[in-house]
Amino acid sequence: MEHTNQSDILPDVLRQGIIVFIFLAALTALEFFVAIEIGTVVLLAAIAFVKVGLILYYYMHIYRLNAQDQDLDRHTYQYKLGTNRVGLWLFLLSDTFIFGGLFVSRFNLLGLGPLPLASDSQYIALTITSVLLLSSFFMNRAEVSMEHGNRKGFVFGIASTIILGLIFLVGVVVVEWPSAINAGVTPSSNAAGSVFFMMTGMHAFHVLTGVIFLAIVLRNGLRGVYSPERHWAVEAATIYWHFVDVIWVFFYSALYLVGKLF
Amino acid sequence: MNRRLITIWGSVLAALVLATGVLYALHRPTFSGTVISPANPAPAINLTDTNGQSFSLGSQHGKVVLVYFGYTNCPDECPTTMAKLKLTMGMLGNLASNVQVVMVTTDPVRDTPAQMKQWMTGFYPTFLGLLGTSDQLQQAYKAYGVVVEDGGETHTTYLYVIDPKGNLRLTYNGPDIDPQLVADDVQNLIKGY
Repeated sequence: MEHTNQSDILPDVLRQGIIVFIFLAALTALEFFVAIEIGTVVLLAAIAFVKVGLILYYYMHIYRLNAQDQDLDRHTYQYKLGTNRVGLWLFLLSDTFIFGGLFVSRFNLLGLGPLPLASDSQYIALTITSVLLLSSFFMNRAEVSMEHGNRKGFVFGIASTIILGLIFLVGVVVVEWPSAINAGVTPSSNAAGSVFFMMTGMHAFHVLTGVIFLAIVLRNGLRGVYSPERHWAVEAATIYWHFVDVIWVFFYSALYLVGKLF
Repeated sequence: MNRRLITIWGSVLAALVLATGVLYALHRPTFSGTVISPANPAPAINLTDTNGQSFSLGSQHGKVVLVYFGYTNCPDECPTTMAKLKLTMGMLGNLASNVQVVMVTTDPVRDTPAQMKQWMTGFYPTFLGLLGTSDQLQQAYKAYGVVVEDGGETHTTYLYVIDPKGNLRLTYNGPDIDPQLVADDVQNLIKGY
């Protein structure tokens, strides 16, 4: 069989990232329509799970956890890469508990009704959700570039992710939070307020730490610390970033789509 | 690799779009008001309006009619209801011309056509007051289950909503209404739900 170059596979993998993003965008548009025009929670949940499935499989490559490693010497890089991965996913699992608790609280305290936010919030949320999904696209692109030795692609991808992440943060803290406070939803107003600010706040904090993580990875990357064979920090930052996007898929649906904001 | 991605997830997306389409075609909006089910023809109202014309509910087909019972000297509930309905009319925009708000007087002694007209149109130009003989009014009160006591100062405050086909569909407690929710309900009735 002919030897295939890394560079032959690259366009295919890059195209995959684009296709996944197009699916995510289409699903986001669909759930927006479902929320405004129909309102069935089951359908919103189904769409959310499909989005998360796409991100988990194609962007976070969760299947790599299944890598065979019995024959590997425990002192090799490959083996340690495997254990590092498991460690990271265990950390994400633990982080899921706090987000999960907040998610459950939203429904426990407010049922399936909407949060008493202004109708502006519906469009603000759609915008920042799109920004975050786009950032995941660039994050994937950066990781794929690093895996295939494309240094410029890697730098451009990470920089774009950081910028979009910062736009998301500004969108939440500078645009959405004041809008909510203006509508009477404050951290101390009532159950709705506390749920809203805890969910968006904890998530935004994770976006912030993700941005810091990415900034460090970018700096190291520019110094040439990473290679296609050894770039665990890039993979870790990537998986963490996509995790934060996954959380937002559920939170966006729970805060803005369930119960129809307007 | 990518072809399989597109086929599998494309089918999933297509299934979701299909489900969305089906649910959209089948869904009925929920109303905020108290729903009268099954919808029955609204009891007839035959009175005289504040423009001196005879008003019959039966001739209002094609419009959503909001019927309230009150009096112009009312200190609280009636003006509150009318003020909120004014907001509702504003929210309906172009659809406002498909909506008729009427108030049947519970105090025919003090409410004259001129006084009612001034009071009603003060809220919104198309609002109509309805008056009549004691018998006619009693008939209307009875038909809608309205209790009127103390010379009209004590009265039940329900707001009755009749759809464009003349069926009684919803009721609200007048003074407690949320103008936006009433506007949403009225819009759905105009759409034919």
